[in-house]
Amino acid sequence: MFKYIVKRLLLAILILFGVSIILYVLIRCMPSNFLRDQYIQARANYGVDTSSEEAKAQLERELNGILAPYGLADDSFWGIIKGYFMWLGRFLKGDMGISFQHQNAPVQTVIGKYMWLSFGISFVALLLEMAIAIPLGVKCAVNQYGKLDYVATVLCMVGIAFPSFFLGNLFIKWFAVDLGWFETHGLTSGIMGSEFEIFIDKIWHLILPMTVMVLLSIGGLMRYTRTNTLEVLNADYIRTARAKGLSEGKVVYKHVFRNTMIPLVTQLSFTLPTLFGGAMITEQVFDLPGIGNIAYKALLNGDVFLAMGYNMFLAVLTVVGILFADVMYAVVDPRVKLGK
Amino acid sequence: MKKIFKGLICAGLVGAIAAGTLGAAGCKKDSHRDPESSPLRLAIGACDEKFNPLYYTSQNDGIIANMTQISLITADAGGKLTVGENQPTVALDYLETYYNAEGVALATGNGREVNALPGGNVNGDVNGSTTYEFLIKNDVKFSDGVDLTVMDVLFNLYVYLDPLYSGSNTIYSTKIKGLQAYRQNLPGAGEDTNLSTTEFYIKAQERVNQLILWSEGEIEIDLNDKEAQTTKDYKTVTELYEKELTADWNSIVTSWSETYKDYYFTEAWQAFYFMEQAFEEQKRPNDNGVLVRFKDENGKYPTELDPDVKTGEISLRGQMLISAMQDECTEAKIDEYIAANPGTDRANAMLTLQRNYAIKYLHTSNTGRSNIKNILRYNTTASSAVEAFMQDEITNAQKGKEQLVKNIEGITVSRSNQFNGKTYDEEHDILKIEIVGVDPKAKWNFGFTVSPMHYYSGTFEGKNYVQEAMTQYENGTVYTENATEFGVKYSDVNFINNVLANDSKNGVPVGAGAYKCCTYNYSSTGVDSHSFFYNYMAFFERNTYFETVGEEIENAKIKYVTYKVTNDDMIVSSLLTGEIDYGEPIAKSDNQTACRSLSQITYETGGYGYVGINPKYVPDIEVRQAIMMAFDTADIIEYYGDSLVNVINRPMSNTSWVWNYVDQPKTPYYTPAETAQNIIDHIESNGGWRFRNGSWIHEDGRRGLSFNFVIAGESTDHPAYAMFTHAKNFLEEAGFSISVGTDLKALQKLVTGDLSVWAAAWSSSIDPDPYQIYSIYSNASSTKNWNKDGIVSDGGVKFPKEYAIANEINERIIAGRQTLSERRRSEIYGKSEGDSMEDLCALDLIMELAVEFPTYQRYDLCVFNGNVLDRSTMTEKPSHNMGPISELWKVAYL
Repeated sequence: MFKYIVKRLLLAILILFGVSIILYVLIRCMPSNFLRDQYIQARANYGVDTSSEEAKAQLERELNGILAPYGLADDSFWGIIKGYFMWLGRFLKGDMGISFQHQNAPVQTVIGKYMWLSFGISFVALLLEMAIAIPLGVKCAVNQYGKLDYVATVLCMVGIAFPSFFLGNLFIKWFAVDLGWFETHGLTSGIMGSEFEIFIDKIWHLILPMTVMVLLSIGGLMRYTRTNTLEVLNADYIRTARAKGLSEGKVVYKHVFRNTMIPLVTQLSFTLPTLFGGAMITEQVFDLPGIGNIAYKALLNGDVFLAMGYNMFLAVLTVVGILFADVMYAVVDPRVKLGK
Repeated sequence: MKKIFKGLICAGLVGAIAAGTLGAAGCKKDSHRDPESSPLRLAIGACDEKFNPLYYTSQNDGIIANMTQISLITADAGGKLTVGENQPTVALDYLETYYNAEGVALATGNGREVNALPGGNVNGDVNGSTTYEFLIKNDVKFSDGVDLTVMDVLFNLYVYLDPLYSGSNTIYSTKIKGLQAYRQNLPGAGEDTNLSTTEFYIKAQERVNQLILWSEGEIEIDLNDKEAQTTKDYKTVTELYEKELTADWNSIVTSWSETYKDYYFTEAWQAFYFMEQAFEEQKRPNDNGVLVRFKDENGKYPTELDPDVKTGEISLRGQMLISAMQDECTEAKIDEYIAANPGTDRANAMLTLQRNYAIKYLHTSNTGRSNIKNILRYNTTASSAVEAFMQDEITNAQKGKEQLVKNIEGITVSRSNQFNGKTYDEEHDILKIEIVGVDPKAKWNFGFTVSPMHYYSGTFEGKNYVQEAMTQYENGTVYTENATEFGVKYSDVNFINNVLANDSKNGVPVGAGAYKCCTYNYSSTGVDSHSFFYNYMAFFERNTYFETVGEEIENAKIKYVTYKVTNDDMIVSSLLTGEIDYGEPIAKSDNQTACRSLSQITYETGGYGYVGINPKYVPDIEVRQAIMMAFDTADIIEYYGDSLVNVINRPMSNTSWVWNYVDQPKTPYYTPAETAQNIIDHIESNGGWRFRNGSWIHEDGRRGLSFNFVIAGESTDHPAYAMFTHAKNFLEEAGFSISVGTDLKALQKLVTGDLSVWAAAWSSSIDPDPYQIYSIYSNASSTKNWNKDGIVSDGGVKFPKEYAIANEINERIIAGRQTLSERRRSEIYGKSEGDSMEDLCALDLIMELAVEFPTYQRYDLCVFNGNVLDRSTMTEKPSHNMGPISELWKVAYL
């Protein structure tokens, strides 16, 4: 196992290297560049002429001077490669660069500041998702083609089909505007009260976005659980267990469920990146100050290093998640041997 | 397991109901609220979180910052300058005085009207000066209890006027006496600069001499060494010479036939070469054998480029010049040029090729080592080079951190109990700002907020700038010309970044305004950027020192105010749920209907919508006019709703005071086309385009009229979208090819002038002076959108009609800036005397230029919970100058 993990880690480094190149090239190819756009706007506000050839050349020289230390001055192929290695050199030293639109704060600081809200929402949503989808999936499999199975399947398909922005806005319309139970957006009402009351106020604001996230993801997990459970239910050892005279409950929840959990555990390991990465669209719809919303704005405005840092962060989590999933598979299923 | 499962479901349901109840409880729409414990909730757009009143750049950041500020002067609902005991201003009284060149006062004004003095007039004097005096209030305190003095006003002024200032205030564009000398750190700089006496001139001349010596072979320089000073200077000189050649060409291209009528020249380039001494006149020996210039039997001077009358020959040199020019201007090259520059006719293309070659030839010939000394001795380039090198020397001196000009001559302070004919019980500080000439809108540049020096300035590199400034105040130095300390380190980016605009000051604004920052749990202690702007909300508490701003000023009635970041499309929902108490959704009939259960106020906004057409991409004036004829503003009325928008027929806001004096046009400048044939007829009868077999062909060979109409943003939910779509259908019937789309980068492209046809809106300004947009001397980015440089730079060769119109517009603008009479200015801007160009007013001339089509003037919609807020405590008659809650401290709950 140890050798396997080491081998996978070494492979992960290569994968991350490749991913970082692709990410950097794509981000550099974006039409917007926050620093460049702000500088041009500031010069225009200042009344500086930028129309003559000489003025344009002067502007380019000044922009080069500002962007060159960050490796962002040259947009040619070799310029991007050079910029990439400048970024990589700093990244390997633990410096992810600065976020231009967050007053030049280090990228790590910005991600650290906004990440935890996204993590909190995603983690709770995941727990709820598991608590609802797994038992429901098992129940549907046990009562295959029954009423519950059909109803749950249809509702789950509807949940899978709905885009998050649509469901989010629908919930805002129903529960916030029409019923007045919640506020339409934001994380806080600005109430006066103790820290605990402010905390409860925040939880109240998170109910709608979490409900959206849970409803959209229940469908997939429920169907996956149902499929795995059906597979296990048809196994020989389950027939044997029944033949031995065990109660149906014991058969399902002791033997079937345990074996169903094997692929589920590995499936859930893949959700590690989503826990920290934030739900970009949901956070936007509900205007939550999470990392997803911040990352979206970074991409839109061309905040190169923040966009790069966020995506690399997700890439690292994904690679770690996959490795974790593979290791967990061996842990939960003694039949699986890694490294052979 | 079943039981556990059921239990989980029950717990979930209970939790949801409880949360909903909690939520409902928190969301209760109170009909009566306690002003001491219930915050007033307002909405704001996305913020950059740079809440520094000196350096914010985003409008929303400015709104947050200005909650804590008061300004030197302000405007009332009618747009008139106002100060006094009942106003939240630093100035108690105000006086402007206009002087002629001899220093005699011609007129005075109080910001609301200008009155001529005996023997004077209300026109001001462009060669004179204007002074603006502000009587500073005593005993005003900032929110932390520190006194506000004239030093704080000076501090703010010197921050805004610093050479490295990069915020959104544009006071540096005002012609304050001595400002250029201060910003350039050049003693004596300004309109009457005598540069020859400065040490920098001597150093600059030495650098020129080095190049002359090199040219004469006395010294050697290595042109491959790019870092060497002489190499850089040589490059500068060659660049300046190219500019000189270009300027010479522009001056000769339209006047050569008159200037050189005594010569045989047939084209401009020949006269240009002659002017630049590329060849000489033919000379003949006189009776004494001396070569002299002569006139031939036709009474003209022959040159080496002209046929000798007797022999019929052109000199070899002349033949070479002619051949080279012919090779440069072949039909193939002309076609190539036209293909690269659509809209150019053959004559202009040839002229441009000739110009480019002639300049290149002369430049190459004369900037070689042996010839450059002549440029540096005899040409205009010589003085340009000296000026450029002088500026370089000045910059180098500034790098050495020596501040040569320590204050601005036109900004002075005095102290008296007499002001504007009144006597006060106690003395007040008086700030006086003197500008050169007359500028009717300059006073609005002094409406800046006054931020505390003791908070925003501080100690830097061992020097306490606040203490130094206050010492000069206390010992009276500030009232003399020796005042040099204003709390600001001159031209130092580190001082700005580490003192004036460091993170903590950017995060928490401080001032003397009605409110001060507090934490998210409404505490005054421990306020920092995180606790003040918390989860996209800003928190404010009443400033208990606000009542010190004026005898008739009271502290805010509502103790706490919050701003919640809310997208435009969520404002209506937020109002309906009660998350915010007051909001300004887009003024559309849909929003009015949605908010019918709430109270509403509407008033006409200051800015207006328009469609811009850039001559750079639509070069034919008749085509631009035809496009305007295809627009139907009824589509915009439908978008907003009848009661929420007005049609506008000239490029000036309906709310401008101009329309108080002249009649506003009720009909469009261009009669809307009723059929596609109207469009076709208009284009054919006014230019070289012809519509044949469903296609457009120009007599210069151009084919097709194809344009892209752009809506700024990512959504087609825009008032102009329907108008563009209908115009597209109409124009396509007339043979155009039109595409309509959105562009997320449209606003950035506006800055660089890269859009051809677009819909946008101007924001309002109190003064209607269109200098910034339409003067040919303006360098603002907005001039790129009508291709000012392209129209003006070649003297009207490519755009003769537009050139003539632009010059007329400029004359009107200059005339409007040279009088203080609002009536006279209104007539200049808005009242045409006839149909000829000389009789048209500025606005009609702008329409004639066909670069801006005004489309609509909408209303602002303010919605609030009438069960909570007391309407009678808001602005009685709100306008774009003063909104319903502009005096937020007066707003109260029912």
